[in-house]
Amino acid sequence: MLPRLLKFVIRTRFSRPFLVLLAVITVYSVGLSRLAGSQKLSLIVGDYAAALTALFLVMSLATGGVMVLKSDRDYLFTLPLSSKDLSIAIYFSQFIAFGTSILFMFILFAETLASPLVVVDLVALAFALTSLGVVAPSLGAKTRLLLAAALAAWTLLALLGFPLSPASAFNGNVYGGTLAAVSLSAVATLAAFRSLGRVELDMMRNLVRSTAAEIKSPISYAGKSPTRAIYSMNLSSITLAGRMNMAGTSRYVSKRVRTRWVVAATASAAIAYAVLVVLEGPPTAFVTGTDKLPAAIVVSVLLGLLSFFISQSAITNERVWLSLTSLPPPVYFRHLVASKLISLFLVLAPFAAADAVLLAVGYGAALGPLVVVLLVIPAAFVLEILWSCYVAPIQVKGEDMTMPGQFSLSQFATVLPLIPALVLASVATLFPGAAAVGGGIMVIASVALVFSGGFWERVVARLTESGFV
Amino acid sequence: MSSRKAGEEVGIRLEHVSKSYGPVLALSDLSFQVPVGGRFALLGPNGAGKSTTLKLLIGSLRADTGYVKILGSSPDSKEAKAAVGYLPEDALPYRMLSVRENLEYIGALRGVPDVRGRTEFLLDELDLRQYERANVGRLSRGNTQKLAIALALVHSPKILLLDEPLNYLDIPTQEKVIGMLDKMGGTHLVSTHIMAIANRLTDSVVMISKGQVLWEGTIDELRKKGSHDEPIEAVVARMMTGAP
Repeated sequence: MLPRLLKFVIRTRFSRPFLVLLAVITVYSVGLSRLAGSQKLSLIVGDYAAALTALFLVMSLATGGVMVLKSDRDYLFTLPLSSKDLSIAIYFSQFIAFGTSILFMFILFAETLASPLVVVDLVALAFALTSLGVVAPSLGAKTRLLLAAALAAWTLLALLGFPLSPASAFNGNVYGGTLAAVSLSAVATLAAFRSLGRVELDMMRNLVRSTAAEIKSPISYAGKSPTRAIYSMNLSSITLAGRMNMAGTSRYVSKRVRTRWVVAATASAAIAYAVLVVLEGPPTAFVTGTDKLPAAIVVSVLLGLLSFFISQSAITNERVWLSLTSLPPPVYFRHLVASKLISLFLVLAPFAAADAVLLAVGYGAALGPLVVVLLVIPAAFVLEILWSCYVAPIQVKGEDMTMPGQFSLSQFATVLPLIPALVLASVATLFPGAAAVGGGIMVIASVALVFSGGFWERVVARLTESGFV
Repeated sequence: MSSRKAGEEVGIRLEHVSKSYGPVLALSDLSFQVPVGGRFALLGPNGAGKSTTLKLLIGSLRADTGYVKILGSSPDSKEAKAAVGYLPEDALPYRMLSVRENLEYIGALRGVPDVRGRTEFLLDELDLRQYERANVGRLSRGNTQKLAIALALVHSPKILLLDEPLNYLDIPTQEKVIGMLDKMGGTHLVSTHIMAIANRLTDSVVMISKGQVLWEGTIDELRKKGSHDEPIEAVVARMMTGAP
């Protein structure tokens, strides 16, 4: 029964082209690793890997969940199936969706695969990512936040040479790193299977929860002009609704967070970033230290990824039957995008300030990251919103623990505008001019699309035909 | 059978409208009109093109051929947007906002002069006062539908396009909404599968099937097409399926 159930669960969650692409990436990365031989991982690349591992672990906890379709709730869960089989089938589909994030690392760090122990490490990390995503909904928000912070700190200790971090294998401590990753994975996977055993109960609890939840600090829009209302809504709070992993679909969970809290968090992170850069060495090392000076690059890449996750929530909670019948679509969308962009600027401003201060005190190479924060990431953010509206618009319609649709290749394509941004963020420290030119081109492209009436007309048709209400 | 008498102003007009989704023809040379002040039901079997018709009327979709007018203007025009109130089937308000925030936000977007006053009125009228601070994502389906109706009415529209407006509502609320809509002036086009609802909310019918108008007339005329004790639903079913 299990194989048939597994096949059914996978086919209902993933489109065939998506599965084919995953298979191609797997074969490609494993093949590449065989060709690459057993070269030692460079420290710069190792630091990237550590930072990405921390980000993926945190995102799994922050926006994870069990991929359940409405049809599962209505039909699959009512069938007389073994709960063990059901748990295994759901876990395996989660592994495909979430654990495969690690495939990106297979490509980036393919040469490490020549060591069998690192393969064990990567597989353990893939299980850890999957399992944390499964456990996440059963944890309270505070527990989730604390756990995410602790995991991020533990993982990032690898950057300081700590041998027993889940990312230590990337920095040369293969034995300690693998041990840490396997331990994390074992604990998380046990917890995940316990959580999956009561997935139906969790869903019922979710469905019958009180309707009394109130907005604590409501905003008044009375007396505001249409445009002021749009800016007021989008600047006061940030809605987080990630498409999990780089290939993911919209999550059913979205969270309204006051912008000031997000800015407070990024301000703290920006201070930590500036301190880290200074601790890494004198301004000259910032320019020439190619063996060990990745903080500026790593942070630029992470900010690019963060902006991607924020961009994916821009349209998922939109209600076109209300907004687009109130204002002409191009007008509404332009203000919506502009307000989201300003909100992103507010979030990134502390990092821009940190780079500006570093520049002022002699860290000349902070110019590149500054260009990334002020030009590349905002332009990519706008392109990501526009692209996801056009290519794979998904509307979050309810918060009943069901996901809005299959993982498909078109959703995978939403990541495309992120790629040039990450490339520019990676080279900006050494080539700020290239980042400026690349960012400038992206700005021109985004402005041209935002002001194209024809583009928005096509977006409205796409949204309507995609079932947006 | 014409839905418009000579000299009447036209609220809603579709002329020779066709619309396809890829290879699927949703509407085929569809033409009908609703006079200003008319209360029309849009009836049709599943897949007849009712929702596509409403989406053309609000400007979310464009006709491949033919044209659509709201009070003589294109659905994209400011005039049409100001005139139309739309309630889709399974309408979803902004789930990250409270009930009051939804009403005030859409009131502000629509440029309603007294947003606060209108919000207070609708909160009371639709018994939403106790939920005004509630996160819409946590509302029951019935209360969500009440809010959706309030949002469609927030700017006192001259033209109302309603898709299954009484879905999810309990009977007392249904009566309240019917009473509210009765009292409102303006032109109403109500898409529904339920003849009893058409009977309560409208006095005329446009019946469509396979994207074309099958029949137009008043509900009384429709009733007369059946035998003495034949339920009106049976008459409609017979007409839709082409049975004798």
